[in-house]
Amino acid sequence: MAARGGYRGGFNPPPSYPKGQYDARSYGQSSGHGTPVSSFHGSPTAQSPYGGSGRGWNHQPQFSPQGGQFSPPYPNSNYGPPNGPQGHYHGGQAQSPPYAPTGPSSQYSPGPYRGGHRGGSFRGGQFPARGGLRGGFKSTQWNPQGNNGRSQPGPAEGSDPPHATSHQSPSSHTERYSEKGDGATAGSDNPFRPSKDLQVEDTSKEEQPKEDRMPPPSRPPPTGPQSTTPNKFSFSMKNAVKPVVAGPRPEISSKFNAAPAPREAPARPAAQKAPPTRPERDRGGFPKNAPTEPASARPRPGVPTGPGDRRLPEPARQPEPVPKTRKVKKIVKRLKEKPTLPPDLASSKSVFFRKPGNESVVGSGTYGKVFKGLNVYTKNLVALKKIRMEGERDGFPVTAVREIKLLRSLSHKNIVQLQEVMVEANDCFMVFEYLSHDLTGLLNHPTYQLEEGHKKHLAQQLFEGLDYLHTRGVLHRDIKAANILVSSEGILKLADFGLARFYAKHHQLDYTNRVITIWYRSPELLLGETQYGPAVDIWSAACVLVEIFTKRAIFPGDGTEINQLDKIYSVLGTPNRKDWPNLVEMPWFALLRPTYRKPNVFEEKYKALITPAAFELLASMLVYDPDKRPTAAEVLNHPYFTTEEPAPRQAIELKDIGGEWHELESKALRREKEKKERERARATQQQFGSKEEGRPESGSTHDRDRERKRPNEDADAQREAKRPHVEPNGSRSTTTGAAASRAAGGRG
Amino acid sequence: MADPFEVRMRFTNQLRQLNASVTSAQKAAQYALKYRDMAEDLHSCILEQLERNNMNTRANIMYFIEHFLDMANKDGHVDYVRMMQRDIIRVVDAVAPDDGSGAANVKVVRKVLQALQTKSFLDAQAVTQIEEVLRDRDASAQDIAMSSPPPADGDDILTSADHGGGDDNMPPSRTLLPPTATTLTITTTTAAATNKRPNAPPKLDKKQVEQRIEEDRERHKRQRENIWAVPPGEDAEMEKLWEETSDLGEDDHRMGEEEWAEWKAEFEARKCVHQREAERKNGPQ
Repeated sequence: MAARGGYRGGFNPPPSYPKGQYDARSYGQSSGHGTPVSSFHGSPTAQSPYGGSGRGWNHQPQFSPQGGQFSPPYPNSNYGPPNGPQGHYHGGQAQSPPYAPTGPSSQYSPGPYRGGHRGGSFRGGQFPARGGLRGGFKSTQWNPQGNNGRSQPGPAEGSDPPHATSHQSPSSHTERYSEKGDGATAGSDNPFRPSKDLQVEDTSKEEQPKEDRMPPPSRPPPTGPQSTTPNKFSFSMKNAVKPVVAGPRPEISSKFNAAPAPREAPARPAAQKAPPTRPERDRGGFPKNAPTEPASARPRPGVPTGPGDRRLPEPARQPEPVPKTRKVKKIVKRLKEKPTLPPDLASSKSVFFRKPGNESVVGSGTYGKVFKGLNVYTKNLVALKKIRMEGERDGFPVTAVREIKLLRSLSHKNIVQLQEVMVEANDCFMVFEYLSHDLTGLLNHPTYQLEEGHKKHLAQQLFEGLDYLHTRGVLHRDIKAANILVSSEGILKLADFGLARFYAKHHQLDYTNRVITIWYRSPELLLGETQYGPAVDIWSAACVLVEIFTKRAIFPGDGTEINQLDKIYSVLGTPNRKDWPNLVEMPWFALLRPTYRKPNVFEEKYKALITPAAFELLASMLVYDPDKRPTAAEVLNHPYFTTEEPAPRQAIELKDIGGEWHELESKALRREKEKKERERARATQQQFGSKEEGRPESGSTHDRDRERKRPNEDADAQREAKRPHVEPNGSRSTTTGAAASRAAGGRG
Repeated sequence: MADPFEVRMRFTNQLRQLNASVTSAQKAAQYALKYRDMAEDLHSCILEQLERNNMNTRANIMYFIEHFLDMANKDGHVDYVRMMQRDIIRVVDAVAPDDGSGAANVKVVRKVLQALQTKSFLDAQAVTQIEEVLRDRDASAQDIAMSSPPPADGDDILTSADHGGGDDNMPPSRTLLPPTATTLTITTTTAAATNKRPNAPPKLDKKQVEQRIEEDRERHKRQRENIWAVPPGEDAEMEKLWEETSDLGEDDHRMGEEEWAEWKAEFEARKCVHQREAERKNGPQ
């Protein structure tokens, strides 16, 4: 049965095998071809003896079928010889046919035929080679062939006689076939015939490969020869083969030793030359070369066949050119030195090492906390945003799902990159790239001053990020200084997509108006609009831009809609229908209408602080009617970015400021300062108003929207008082602007 | 049987405590339906509360009416529906008085009237007439030109009733409605309304404004919960998507490129070992 298994396996596979695979296998395992044949005849037993070579066997069965198909692969293969082998074959066949009929004729008309063919093919083409090589291997199976081969091995000429023997063997084979009751007979015919030529070719080719692989078989081959003489008759018997094997080995080994170098070299040339050369040569060459090479070299390649095919075959071929010196490429695997982690990292329970306690917190808000983490293996810094699960009745918060989904679809240099989502110790983290600063922290840095070119570059990146979001159909809905990160190379990235959503670009949908940190919330949202669009982000960005220029929020309200609108009215004046036709359509217009008319004092307050183009840009964005605000793309084409000097310049100086400046740090710093100032203020009562006001205003208030608002309520009155404070910033910035213009070459 | 006085008291309380949630409205409506034998009493209770409470509560009651009529109709208590049809003008005047104090409620009234009409609790003619009145009130309110800077610098206090030619446009219901010769009880109610009209209409205090904002958001949220609903009909969903889908634009290409890049990366990553091996070998060649 085993034989059958091999048989069928061989046959069936051939058709199924893709040529590509074929080539690979055929090359590597050429031996397989021989084997399959063997399996065919006496096959079942043959496997058992090999045992160790089991793999080889398996391959072989496949090969045999391949043989039929091989023709295509071969051409590619080095073996090219197909033609050559065919020649052999034909010869073989020619001979075989006559024999075949004789032997098998009685029983199997087709069977014998095949037997004859194969026998012929094998013998003709393969025998010589096999004789040496396989003889041992297949000897069990092939005994007849083996005999021939061996008897011949010495003399290539012997081919004829082997054939004769082979013929006999085929007959025996045929018998076996019949016995096996090959269901495949009909099918087998087909495979056989094509295979004949192919097989022949294969065999010749295979022989060479076999040599490489054959090592294990090579040992047996000797047995083959020995057995051969006696085997002819007994060859069918497996038992006979096994014992025989032991004998042959020594012979082969001696041969190998004699001509070790040529092993592959001959093989190749033989393969290539083989086609032109006559079978005799092949035989002659094969037996000699074949045994020699395989003995030493084969084992290695043969063993690895499965996995090693790729690597091994190559090295084996390379050595070929050098005929007499043996070069063996050894691939030795050595363990890399195990990297050792510093103790603090090694003890980290997480891949991302965090400093204990609150040390690693770099931000916090309603969404939860953000930690700074160090990947203990790559040493890359990450920001870990912990998704708050407390108080979630419905499981994983849908807002987090939304944020993750959005972020995964975004990829832009000015959008923070979500690297992965990690579940650890029952907590879920979003893992972001880590950036050292955020805009709030940076603007509140005690000493570092951004140059005009830097500011422009930051602004440009802000609007490039926004432009990307809006073209991708995303509303950020929480643009504010604290959500804008800046790397130590001065690259700006928009972060915190907890409120972001996809929006319908080409028709108006209804969204909630409870979005955007209230200081940055546009008037239409404050008036209850639920059908809004990207213009709300533009308003927020304009507010951020003001902060970049002046370091202070432009509309620091107390956290209520009423007060926030008052703040806006007090700068931009009260809105009217002429400027904003839809004003009265706002749901809460009647609810929140101003009681006083107020003039627009924006120009008065800001024109002196910033450059003309910057002022013009801000004025165009801070308009009540959302339809009249420019898009992010239009902003980027504004003269402020395109023509006005200085050109945008990346703030690479941020590398040198040291530390990390986030809203968190700036808050701590501010609290410290507030404390000191309060003390000082107590001492000098007169300055109290101005100083107190100045501190908290400069961006400090960002986070606690709801709480600290009262002090700001009378900001209007204090505004004037503050003005002198603001101006120094402005003048300083203009001077730095000059410096920036000098270095304007760096513009991106 | 429950004490009529107690029923009335309880219902009054429920009306006062109405908020933006559906449950509060349902509770009150069910109560009214339970004591439908006192329908007339309870109806007058609604009118009374409409005229006595602050603007937020009036708006809430207005939304409640929509809900209430719905349920009443479903249960076959047409009495409530009929009475409401009769007094709808009075209701409107209470919720959105013409003195400007109810300007914030005008949109509420419109919305509810529309809904009542589509549910055919009100006939189109009545709604159209009320609509006209409302538009005038709205217009008068909008006359406040809050221009900035104001022409006459902002020393004047802007109120809806006060500003500009407000007075000329002010009494909409009285001037406009009688000519239309509606049979409704409009004159009396408007008279009452105009009597109340002060020179400086009551400004909503901050707390009420904030409360109203929250309630509107709550209502909006509920409303949005039904946004996804697909209209019935064959291919309705497809048609809807078709309508909502834009022409191919630059941004679509941008997205396409990103997705293609992602796909390619994924494809590479999933190649079987053999293919990658082959590529590695062939690559150098």
